Amino acid sequence: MYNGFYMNKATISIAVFIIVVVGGLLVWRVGNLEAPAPQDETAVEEETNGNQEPPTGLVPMISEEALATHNSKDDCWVSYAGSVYDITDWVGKHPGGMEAIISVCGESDKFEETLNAQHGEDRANMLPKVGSFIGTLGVIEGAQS
Amino acid sequence: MKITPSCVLRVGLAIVLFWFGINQILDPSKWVFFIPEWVVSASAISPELIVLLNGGIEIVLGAFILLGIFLRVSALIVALHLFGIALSLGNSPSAIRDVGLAFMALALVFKK
Repeated sequence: MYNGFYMNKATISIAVFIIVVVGGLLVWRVGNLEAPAPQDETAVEEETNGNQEPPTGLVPMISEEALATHNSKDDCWVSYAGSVYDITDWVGKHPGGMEAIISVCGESDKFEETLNAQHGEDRANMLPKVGSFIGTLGVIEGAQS
Repeated sequence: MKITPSCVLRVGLAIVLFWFGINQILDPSKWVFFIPEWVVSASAISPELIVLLNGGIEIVLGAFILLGIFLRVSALIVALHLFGIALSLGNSPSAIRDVGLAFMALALVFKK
């Protein structure tokens, strides 16, 4: 067992072996990373703007009522800072468990509060990465869902 | 092998580091959400790659801590890493959990 700063050959060999094995695993995994799908200009614009600044141009306006209908694991929309995202594909991937996300599907204020409380405010910038931008939250009558 | 408080701490920390490290390598897309924005902005590599590298480092550190290789140095890196995560999370339950884990790691740094 390691004690102090003295390292024998066997210990160093084990350390090198671990680093090589994990390094090899990483190299293999990096080679298997999915290449990002080509995006059209609209998608790029939406992602770039993210939730910090609603995209310009023709963007669907989504009412609170419409947002609230997308509240299940198979259909999960959330709103942050006025931008609405479809995070359905990510619901099952949430490291903190699916239930934690489902409880905020279809929500705006509750989603913001939960996200900020659990993960910090700057994580909201990653929403375009884990979901797709759907539109902006509004109160206009006849807003499409 | 004699069970000591240090052994229990090492096994506990190693389990945590292995679980997070392996999961980050298996599916990095799950974890990109947890990378602070300033890290993404400051690095020239993709968030997925950052997650992969972080996962690999956590597995190596977990193995070192479990086996007692470079124990104090590994534990110190883990403690600083966890304090950094806690700091970036702010006032949240996850941050408090990580502060607790960081102090577990610090206990190994200062063990006799």
